[in-house]
Amino acid sequence: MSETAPETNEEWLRLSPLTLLPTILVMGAVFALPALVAVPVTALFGVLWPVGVLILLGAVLLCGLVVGVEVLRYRHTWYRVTEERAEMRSGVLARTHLSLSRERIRTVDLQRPLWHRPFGLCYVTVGTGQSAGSGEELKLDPVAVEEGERLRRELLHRAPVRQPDPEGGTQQEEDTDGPSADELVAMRRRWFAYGAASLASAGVGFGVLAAAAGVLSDVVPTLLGQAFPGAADAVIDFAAQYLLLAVLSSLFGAIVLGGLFALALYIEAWWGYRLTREPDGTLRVRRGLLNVSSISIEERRLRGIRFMEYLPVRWLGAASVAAVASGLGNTKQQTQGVVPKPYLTPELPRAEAARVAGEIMPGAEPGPPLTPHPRAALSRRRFRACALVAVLAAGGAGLGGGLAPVPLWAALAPAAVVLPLALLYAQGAYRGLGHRLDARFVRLRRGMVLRSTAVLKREAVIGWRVHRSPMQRWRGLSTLGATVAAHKGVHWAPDIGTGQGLALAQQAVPDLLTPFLERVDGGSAAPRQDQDARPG
Amino acid sequence: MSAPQARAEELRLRPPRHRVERRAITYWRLRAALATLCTVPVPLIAAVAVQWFTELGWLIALLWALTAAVAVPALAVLAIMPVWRYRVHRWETTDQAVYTLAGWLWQEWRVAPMSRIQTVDTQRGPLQRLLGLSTVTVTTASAAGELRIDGLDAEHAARLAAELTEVTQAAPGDAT
Repeated sequence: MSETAPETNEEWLRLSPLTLLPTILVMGAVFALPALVAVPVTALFGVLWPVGVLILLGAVLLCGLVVGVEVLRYRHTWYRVTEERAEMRSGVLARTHLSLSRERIRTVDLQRPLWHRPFGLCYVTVGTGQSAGSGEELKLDPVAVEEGERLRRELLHRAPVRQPDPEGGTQQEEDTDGPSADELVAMRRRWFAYGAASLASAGVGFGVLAAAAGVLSDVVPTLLGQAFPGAADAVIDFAAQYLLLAVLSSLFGAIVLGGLFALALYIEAWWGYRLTREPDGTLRVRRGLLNVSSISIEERRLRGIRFMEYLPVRWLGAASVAAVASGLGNTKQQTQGVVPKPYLTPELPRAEAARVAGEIMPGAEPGPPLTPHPRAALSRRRFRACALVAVLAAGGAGLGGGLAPVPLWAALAPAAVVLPLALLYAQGAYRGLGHRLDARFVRLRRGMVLRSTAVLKREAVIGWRVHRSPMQRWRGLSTLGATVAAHKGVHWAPDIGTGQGLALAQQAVPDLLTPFLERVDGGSAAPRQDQDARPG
Repeated sequence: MSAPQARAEELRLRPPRHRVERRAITYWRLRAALATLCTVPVPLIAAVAVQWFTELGWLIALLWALTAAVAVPALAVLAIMPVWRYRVHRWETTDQAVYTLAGWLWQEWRVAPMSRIQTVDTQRGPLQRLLGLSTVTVTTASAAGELRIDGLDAEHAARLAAELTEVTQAAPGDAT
């Protein structure tokens, strides 16, 4: 490509001329409004000069600075898409020229945060799936929604797309579909209920609650104490008298509040969710209330799916599906807000999740039960559970022995309580282990709280790893790993019987392991027929 | 559910054909010695200092116990690990695949098909250069699918890397 100055080259495109408007909106809400409120307040208190004027000046300067920077950025940013590359030139002081080969483009994501929506804008992230920051990601912020859609279609499709333009009336609509996009699943309101129990949103929800509680626990009691002088003492007396009730009700309140936060986050993340199969061979996930995002995954980069049955939603009969695909970025890029990029569905009723899994990859839905791993795996987990309890008990004995004024039985009580729970956990962890080979897929399941089944296409497995610790060697176990070209490069089957795992690997990918296998009695390992390889 | 398998029919992986260089024992020993020199002196110096300058019996005992807890395993590893590793580490390349075994207490076998190999690199750290050794790293499209062969003779490693590069460039197949 000849390097001509952007200003003279007709092909280069600019960002949307409406670039400034979202910035002005955000600046207005964050700086101008508070300043406009504060100035009359200072006038009321008689300190209009100098405090009020300073505030006003400060707000004006800040807004002016930010808007000025945005104008400069707009004037110095150009992008274009040629037959081989997608390029962007930007930068006021430090000029950068970013150029991505179209062959390497794996993801084109559209995001529509709240402040872009009133103006019909979005921001586009074009990535190769490699780690960002080394010039592997192109961000166009903002462009018009139609332009974003056009870029998405062009960049993810190797051949030109022969599609009639969408009708004029749908131009301003969110997330236009191609004429023959195939909808696989769309959100139903009652599925939002799972959000309160979903681990990811619950984690953030309770975190927010804890932070808020930390902040408020200083401020609120002092304020209330000033407002209602006698009340504070009365409340403390009451709580001391009915300690158990107080503790339980606070705990209950915390759980409810945390659950509500989690639910709110979840609703924001999955509002308007749709999973479609586009005619250009991509799967498209659209979701979001405040920040609407659209994530496209090329089907030919899909190595498999993960069928996730996480606690506690598993107890409520829910499961979800995530993609195992290359080009979804490394772990840092993957978490956008509460929901990681590879997630294709929210928590769905298990039957629905199974159906969607089958739609995404025919044959991938859960079917016959998986083959369990040897009992030695169970005794290993039980041993770990007992070891944990022993450590707890030792700590408790140390405390009871003299470091703290606590009777011995009380110090050991936690260990006694934890023991049956730990053993149950060990049992659940063992039952989570399993594997199976179908005509098209290898399934590897593991986990207790984060139970997920990796359903990998047999042709997508590009290597094997067999890991063995001294304890595993003693029990005849090993941990089998299937490597795939996806962000999580290897999927493990922990504590599988050594012979069992090798047989699985040998049949899953014929001719890869066979030259290196032998039978225990020394004979060579000819390929065996195995009753597991039934047509899926 | 598969039927229980007769023990004789059960499969296992045979070790790869080739060993690494004997000099690798020295290399691993030197590395372990460096690690020991970095970790053991810390509690040791603390124990000696506390013993000289204070009379806190319990703290002195604790620090000496800590020193022993760090030093004894470190010295054991230094003595045992290099030879054990030499007996375990092996590698092999066929027309179809690359196969390695590495580790000592924890052992890992790795196999990758030739058609999926993306790059073949050699690396030489300062210790390896001192001993004329080199590490060959074979990467595939999977971030977790790389194979490493430590402790090869430098010339041999360069030749191996060149051969593998030739074979993988000739092999058909989409390396992604």
